[in-house]
Amino acid sequence: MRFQLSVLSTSLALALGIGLSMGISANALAQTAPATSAPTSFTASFSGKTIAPNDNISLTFASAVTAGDGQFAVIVGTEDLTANFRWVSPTQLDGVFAAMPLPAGTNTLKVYQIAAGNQWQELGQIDITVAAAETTGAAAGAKTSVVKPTLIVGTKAQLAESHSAAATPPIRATYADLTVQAGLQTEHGDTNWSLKSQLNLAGSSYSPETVDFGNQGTEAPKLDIANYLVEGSYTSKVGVTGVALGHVQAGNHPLIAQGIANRGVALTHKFNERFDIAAAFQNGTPIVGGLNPTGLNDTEHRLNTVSAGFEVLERPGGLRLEATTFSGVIKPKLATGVATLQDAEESKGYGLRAKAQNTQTTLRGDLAYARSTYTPKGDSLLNIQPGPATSGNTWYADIGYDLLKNALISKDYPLSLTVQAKHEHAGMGFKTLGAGAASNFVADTLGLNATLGVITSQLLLTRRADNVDNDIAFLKNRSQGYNLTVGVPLGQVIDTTKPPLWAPTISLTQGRTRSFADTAFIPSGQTLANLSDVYAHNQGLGLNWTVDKLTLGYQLSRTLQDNQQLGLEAMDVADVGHNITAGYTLSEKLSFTSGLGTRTSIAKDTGVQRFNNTAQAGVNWLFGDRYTFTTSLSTSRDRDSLGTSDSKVLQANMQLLKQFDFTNFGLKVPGQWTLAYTHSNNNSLGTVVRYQTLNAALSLSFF
Amino acid sequence: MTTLNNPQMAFINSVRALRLACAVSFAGTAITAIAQVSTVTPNVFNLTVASGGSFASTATPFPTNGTGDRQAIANMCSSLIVGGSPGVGTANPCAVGATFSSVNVGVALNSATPQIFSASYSAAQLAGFIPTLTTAGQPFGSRKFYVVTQFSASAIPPFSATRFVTLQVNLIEPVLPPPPPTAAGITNANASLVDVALNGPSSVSVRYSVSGTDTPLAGQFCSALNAGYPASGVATGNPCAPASLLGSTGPAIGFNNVAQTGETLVVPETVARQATARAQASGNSIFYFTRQFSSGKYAVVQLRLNGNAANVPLAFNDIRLGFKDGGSLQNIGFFKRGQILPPVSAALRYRGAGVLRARWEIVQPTDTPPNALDLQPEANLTPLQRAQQHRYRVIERVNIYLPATGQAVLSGPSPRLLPNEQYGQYLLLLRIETSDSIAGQPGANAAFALPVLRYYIGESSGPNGQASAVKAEPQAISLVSPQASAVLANDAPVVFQWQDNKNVSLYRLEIEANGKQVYAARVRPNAQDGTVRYTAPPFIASTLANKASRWRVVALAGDGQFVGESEWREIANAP
Repeated sequence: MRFQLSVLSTSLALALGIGLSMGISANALAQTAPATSAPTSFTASFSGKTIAPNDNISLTFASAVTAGDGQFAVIVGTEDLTANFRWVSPTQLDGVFAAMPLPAGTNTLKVYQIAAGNQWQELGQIDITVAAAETTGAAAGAKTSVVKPTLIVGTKAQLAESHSAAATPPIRATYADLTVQAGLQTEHGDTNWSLKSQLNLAGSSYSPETVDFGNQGTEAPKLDIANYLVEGSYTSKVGVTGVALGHVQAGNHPLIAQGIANRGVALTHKFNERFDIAAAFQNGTPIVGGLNPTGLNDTEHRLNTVSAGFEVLERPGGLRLEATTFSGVIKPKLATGVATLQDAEESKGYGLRAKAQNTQTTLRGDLAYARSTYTPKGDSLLNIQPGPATSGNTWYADIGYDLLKNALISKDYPLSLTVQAKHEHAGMGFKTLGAGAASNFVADTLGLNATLGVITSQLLLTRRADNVDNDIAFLKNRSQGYNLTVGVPLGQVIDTTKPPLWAPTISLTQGRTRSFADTAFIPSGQTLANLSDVYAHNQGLGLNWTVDKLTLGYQLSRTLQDNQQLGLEAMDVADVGHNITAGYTLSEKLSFTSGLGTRTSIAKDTGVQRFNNTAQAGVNWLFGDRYTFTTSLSTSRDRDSLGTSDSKVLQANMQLLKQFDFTNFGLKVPGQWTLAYTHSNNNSLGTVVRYQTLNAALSLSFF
Repeated sequence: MTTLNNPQMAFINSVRALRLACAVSFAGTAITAIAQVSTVTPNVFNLTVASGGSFASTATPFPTNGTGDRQAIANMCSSLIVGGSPGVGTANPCAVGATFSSVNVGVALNSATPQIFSASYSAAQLAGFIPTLTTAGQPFGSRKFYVVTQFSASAIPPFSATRFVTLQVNLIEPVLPPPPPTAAGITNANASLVDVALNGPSSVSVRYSVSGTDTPLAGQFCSALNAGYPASGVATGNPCAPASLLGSTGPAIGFNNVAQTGETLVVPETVARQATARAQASGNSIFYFTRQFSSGKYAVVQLRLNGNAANVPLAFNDIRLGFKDGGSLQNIGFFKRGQILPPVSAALRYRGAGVLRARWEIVQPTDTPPNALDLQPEANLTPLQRAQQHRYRVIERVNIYLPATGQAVLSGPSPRLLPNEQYGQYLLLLRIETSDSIAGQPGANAAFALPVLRYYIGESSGPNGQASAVKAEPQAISLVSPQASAVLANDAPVVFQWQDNKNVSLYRLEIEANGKQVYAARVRPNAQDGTVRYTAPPFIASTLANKASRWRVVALAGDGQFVGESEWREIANAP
């Protein structure tokens, strides 16, 4: 297939933009602010200014620095923040503090170069003043006031596309779209109150890429709310009251309502250190978009959770009691990140929970109970009538005990031993929309964790059965098995201080599970031949080496599904896989990754084998003036021994990304452009499906 | 029409001759009528109606011994007035406009001899309000009509002491022997039992054999088949017994007009719950799915209600992708450029057991977004359709055995592998490949498009709400070296080492001396051997000299959320 290049006029503009930005970025680097603290061999983006804890910073060196990963360090005060920094060019070191903020106050920032033998040589230092969150951006007299908008405007274009005759033609061979990402973060507060908000919007001129296209289709707004959260708290004599609106989380009871992260409103009140309550009213699914801003527009699609917790003992965590009620009703709706067969459903229930631990925290217990009534509401689209409502109970008891804690067997081998036991029981009629708890099973789990020096191991014994009511209308499935994992850093075992390079870290897994139907339960019309009986054996071996900048790994995995069902004893499936990985980090700027894998599965009754071979390689290279080149190449072949399937896939990506600063009218606007090429080729029994695209993007970050 | 006593039989016969050989009769006890009809028991009857507009009647007539009834007028109506019910009353209970047939019989009933009612109705009369009656193969479901017979003490108008006897007639589809299937069109369906969930939804792979082409039409779930129909395979005529219907479904998902094909069938939770309730009552856990084809034939699949069994191919009911945030999954993420993302997780609900093969792929801002075909699991597709799927950059491969427990949480790719440099929208895909099963057929179907996890790289992050009073359980981090109370040498690098945790994006090493923090270090997971190392600067030994010191590690997710921590470990320094 001929590769046809079709450049849109907008794409030309885009290309011009890229060229423009390249020239501008050089100017921007030349205008970096001078340092204010001596001695130093670098300048800083924050010189003379108080910055926010989450602000990104840049250090620009007068000359190129040769210091790869592990060869430099950045320390602020007494904290090593090297992990936040990376070299974006030989002369520029950027720090990102989005997740973990800079230490507050005025400290000295020092940059070191680290030579062989852990020799630290200081390259320079500069004072850095970071405002505490409570005072950032504060006006005189105000305790807290932060307003931080973000805006990224970009365009992305497909400059060219080609595909083979057997491929699915794209909806758009070439295009140019406008994209927007905007955010607003605010923080306000005083001694007794605080109000924080975070709003994220995203937009695209192309409907299928708009935020709420899944629900609204082409009617979805081009620029829409992706998510938001407004949180307020107020401290009074009766405790701390919290209110949250937006993408809130609710539920702490594993059996009735837990970890519900949907749009809605949440209220909390902590009376004191021992008594707290919480309530949340949320949409039935994790929605996006601005169509339902509070998430509470539809009373037939809502989840309600109310809970209370009480610390019985003064010692926090000594004994905590919790009660939770949950009611929810949902309709089948599309949601981002979710694929489900859920119908229109409703459930109501409550849960109780007690957690306790002794003073030394060596003994821990968790007891939970829940009861729920579930009502299916049918599916009008498919002319299906609702089934009957059911009610049921579920509960578990979980206890853990540290039998030994760093008991000194020998100087280098302290022994820790922890035992964990859990019993679960879920009634057949139990179901809740607030948690993922299963129904109709009884399970016992016994775990044993052992650490001997640097050697770790875990043994897990499990036993499970369903059909808890022993109803003779149904089969009763049982399973029992074990799983053992062991980790041995062999080098550390041989020599703690100087591990030999040849010695790998070894990981071993061994497991076996028998899943079978109880022969005491053979429903009418069925025979022994209808009862399953399967042994599943799993084995794994991992060997990993780290030699300076080189990492090597080998993984072996084996699975045997041994069918013992009457009359089907020969229908076993064996699966064996080998995987080799290698990575080489030449420096912070250049790294390579590669891998080879092979997997064979055999259906033993027919002898048919299925083969899967994979190979991949990748390069990440930072070069020149803030250029990044990444490429990945992967191939795979999937075939069977009968020749009925044979698929050979080649997939390649290449991307060149350039970061720059656009400076004009006294404003510095960071930006980036990208040029990307993708190629995929799938040859399936002689039918060739090929796609190729050439794309470009340009983005400017105004705040 | 209503006819009475033997002298009128000639009249009855003449009327019947005018009908389309259609007759219906009611079996029951006599109407007690001294002077006039006052009660009628029973008053609800089933009328078996054949497809195509003909009636099948029973031979037993409806007797009475009325002696005072002089006049009989039969009305047939499709509904009653509000409050109207079968039985005897003094007013016509037929709803206005609902009467579709009325015949004035005008016969004498003044006899002590038990009389016999029988009624004949033409298919054309019923078809006026039951359109489905004339459509071959369609179930009548809960269709019903009412026969209202008017009695009076006088034979001619004006009538007096009028009574209305109302009988409810339920239309029942007849049990007919299945005609032999023809060769063209669908020739076979799953021959063996297919397990589905009790009280829950299921995705089920159904395979068909088709001679030539055939097009799937609507499907039905039912708990019983009509007599003579095969429990699985192919039948001509609808095998589902009308009274056992559990629900209907639309056209097949994943069907293709090829010789060997199939569909990924959804057994909705409401159907499974109805079937479960019936099974609990009857002791039979088998029910059926039938799908009509354009050839007029039906595929019949035998379904068995069962828990999770290991001899069933993998099939997914529910997949949720998200960024871990405490105990929740966030379905959309905003992160700053360069920020290491939080761990990704996939909560799976499935049937069966087997090896899950999948690929985590990333769609970058400049990539062509996936289309509907791209989001189908491979098992739903033909080999050609699989080849036509777009491929994206593979982040990590998945090869894991899923036991027959119905639920699993699949950890996503290492957060360190997720791109975070380019501004724009990224899509993380979990591409599920076919899996081999001991059931002899490939698994890993899902009757839905696979979910997509969306995240944006820009200059803002969050939000991360936490309305719960208590956060999720922290994870314990195991320290490796230095050992407890180890003595740090002044002349050798001090290396702190601990066990790595896949879900951690950043560690914070904390060192205290005399109860105060004197040093800390943020450490990215930096090793492939399962442990993380940090080589402290040379001055650390002197900083800690002669002080009661200890160290620990705090683990953080990519969004800065606390993930876990180690215990404190003492350090004994050389003076």
